[in-house]
Amino acid sequence: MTENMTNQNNDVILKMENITKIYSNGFIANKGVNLELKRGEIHGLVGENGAGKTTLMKVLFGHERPEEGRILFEGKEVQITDPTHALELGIGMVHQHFMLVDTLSVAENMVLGAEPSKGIVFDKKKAIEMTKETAAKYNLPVDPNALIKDLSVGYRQRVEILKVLLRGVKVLILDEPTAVLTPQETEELFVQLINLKKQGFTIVFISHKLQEVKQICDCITVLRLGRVTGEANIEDVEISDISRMMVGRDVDLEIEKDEPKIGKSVLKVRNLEHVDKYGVKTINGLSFDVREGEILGVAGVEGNGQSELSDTICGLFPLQKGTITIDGKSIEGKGIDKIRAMGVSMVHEDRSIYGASKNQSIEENVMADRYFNEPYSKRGILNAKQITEKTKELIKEFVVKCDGPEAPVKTLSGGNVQKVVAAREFSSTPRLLVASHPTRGIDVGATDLIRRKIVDLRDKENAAVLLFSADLNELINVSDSIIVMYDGQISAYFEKLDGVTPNVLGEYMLGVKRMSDEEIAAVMHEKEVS
Amino acid sequence: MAKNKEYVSTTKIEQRFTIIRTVLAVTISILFCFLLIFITSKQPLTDIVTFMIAPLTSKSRFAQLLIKMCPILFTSLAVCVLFSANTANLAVEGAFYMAAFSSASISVLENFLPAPLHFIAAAIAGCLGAIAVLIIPAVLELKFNANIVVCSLMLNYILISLGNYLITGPMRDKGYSKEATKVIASTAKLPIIWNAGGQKVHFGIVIGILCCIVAWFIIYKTTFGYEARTVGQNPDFARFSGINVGKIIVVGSIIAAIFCGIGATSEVNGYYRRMEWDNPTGYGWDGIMIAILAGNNPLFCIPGAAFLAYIRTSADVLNMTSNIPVEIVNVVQQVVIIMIAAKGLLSKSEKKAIVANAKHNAELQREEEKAAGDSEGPKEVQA
Repeated sequence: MTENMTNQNNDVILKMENITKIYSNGFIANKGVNLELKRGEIHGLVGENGAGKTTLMKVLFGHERPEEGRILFEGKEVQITDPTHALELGIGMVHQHFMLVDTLSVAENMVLGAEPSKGIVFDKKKAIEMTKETAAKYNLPVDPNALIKDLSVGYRQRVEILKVLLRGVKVLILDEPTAVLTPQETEELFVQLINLKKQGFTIVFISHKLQEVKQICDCITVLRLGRVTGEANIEDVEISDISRMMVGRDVDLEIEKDEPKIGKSVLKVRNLEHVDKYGVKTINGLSFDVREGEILGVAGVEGNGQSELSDTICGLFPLQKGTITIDGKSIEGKGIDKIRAMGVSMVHEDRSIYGASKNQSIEENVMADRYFNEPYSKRGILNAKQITEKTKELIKEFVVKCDGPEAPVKTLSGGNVQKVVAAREFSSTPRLLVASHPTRGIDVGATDLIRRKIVDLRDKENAAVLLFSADLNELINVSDSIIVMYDGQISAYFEKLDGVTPNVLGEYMLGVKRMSDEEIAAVMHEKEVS
Repeated sequence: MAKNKEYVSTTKIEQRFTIIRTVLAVTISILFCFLLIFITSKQPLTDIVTFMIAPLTSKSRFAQLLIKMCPILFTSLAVCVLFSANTANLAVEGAFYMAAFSSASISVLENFLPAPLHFIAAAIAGCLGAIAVLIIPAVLELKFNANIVVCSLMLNYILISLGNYLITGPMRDKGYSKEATKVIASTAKLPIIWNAGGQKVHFGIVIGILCCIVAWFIIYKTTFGYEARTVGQNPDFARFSGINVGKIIVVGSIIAAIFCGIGATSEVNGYYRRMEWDNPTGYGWDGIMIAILAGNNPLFCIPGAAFLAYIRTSADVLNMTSNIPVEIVNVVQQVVIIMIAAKGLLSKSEKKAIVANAKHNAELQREEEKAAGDSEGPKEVQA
């Protein structure tokens, strides 16, 4: 029977049938999903964050075992037990977060898991040879001796792809490969992918960026809430159709906002420098202001000093060199509690570690920055009634989908966890909000709500907002002005965003262009010092 | 068949399994005990019955149970406070031991203070002794990033020697045949609340239960308790929220030490004529087991301590009426700890129940959506 099937679908290389995956916390990530991949195609797997794309691919790559369903590879039913098995079959995956060892060379990383050896000794020459060979074969040039830590994100990704190709895969899964790339690097990646396609590889391209999907994919499968909501050849659908299948309704993510009413400077950063634990200068002389009623966006490729900047303002890192003041008062030597008391609210990029405590209830999470104030407590004794009341109010205001204020945060979806974080950080009438990637990895509904709430903070509370985001469209849409960070410095300052596009920002993000010192210095707004 | 129309949250299932797991752990350990009795005893059935009901067969045995319960109630509270903040400070054993010495140094003074005040003064001294012990591993961890588990374990050994020295040297009553301190002054003694055939239940049990309520209040109703639990659950989150993690660990250790101090003073001044511990009591380790069994909830320490005291009393009785040695209790204790620590126990059935429930909830939701004629449900689009 299997032979029969092979004959019928000559060009089908892989089929997933009726896959259901339920996680041990009860979350149904996939429900009866079917997926069919043909030889030599780029298949777009699209859906919002949390729609189940990554889970489906983890099932395919052997990271997760499905509760129901079966997988047919080249016509035969296979049980994929672990990633090694998947690789042996010819299925490879490039993860969103690269699985490379920073301190090893490209060649050493390439052969990791299948190291060539002479007797019991690692054969480095052979590894370099293999790397060169593979690189030449697929026209993806790399330097086998370069250390991973010295390479750019785009380069690292190329190594990841080569590493999988070296293992002789036929199906290549790319989990949101463009999320970490600049527009220019993305273009380059697409050229490489099309090249691979021509050589007969099947590529699964996971993304929620629809322009990219439209540009590069041959056909798509759309997931929503763990189910397949559409399958199509790319030429048959418009972006708006895909978007509707993804979200279930027409979406307009553009936020309408009025002209900002800008006041005096709240946050002043001057000549900031930061050296990380490896001795690398991650911030190298940073100076800027954020004023009342202003949203200042920070663009930059990950790893150009943004995390260090936000963590230093928030007090997670001690201030090493330079000054940071909030309403004229320095934060030097102050703990996070003191900095918060100065009116700083913080949304950390790492939600699961710093943003929320997953085993605790929503009310315990919401109260974390104010439990010591009246009416939530008095003389060290908590007022459970007030806490519950306030939590209920916030749940309503931020539309958190949950069983109630006492539901543990781990029972919520990613978007709702972030709403809980926002409910806490946005409701303390902050003077300054430092928000790092506030909408990363969450669904469209939550994204829209959080963006609106940020604009509300600017308008209603006259707060200053420093917004870090990898989503350039979000930055351009939500921010009033933007600075671009490159190599620990500001490489551009756009006071007005008319005509600023992701491509314009991209050139500054890559360090191709840099504004003059005078243009950049304008972000300090010195004349307004009171 | 009528379908259950109710949504059940995953949390509820998890809670249910926690309870089942605890009951199962206790049951299995007792069954294991039966097995041991069966193998070693000359009269297995009688002995098993004795083991099951002994503490309830006479007033004096029941009184014994209450007496045995007293010290472990306090140590388990101390452990609850520490473990709530996820501070693995295992020096409760040593702290309890040292507290007995420091409080005894006050208790033995004649004509020192009138009745309740003398006990209170001794208890304060006990607390200071316990604080001095428990604070050491906490500070070492905070200041020098030393592993608190290792520090506190090693500290216990140092304190054994210190205790040995004190009881054989400076604190010993040289006019007494055994190694012990002077007689505890009558003004420092705790009153006897029930004398059942020579088994004198002292006021310590009342103090212990009151302390349980206080500890529960501290952990669940105060800002400190909130901070401690948050630090215990996610220290990074706590720190980012502005909670001073170091302060919580130090304050937590001090509160735990206070329970040790009150407990040691109550035990010595309620039960003994002189302080005569030439070795640590083991109550600190008991406390760890009870706190784990109670899920760090001080109120559950009461049944937890009662359980341990119950099987200890039974074992004592068996020791006298049969050839079963009293050490059988250790077997029960160890098996309970292993079973509770075995988080994988029933995890498969738990996962199954959660998966089934998730499917059930999803189906209910779909039915509701259908009923509401919701057009927003996922639609199949085939192009």
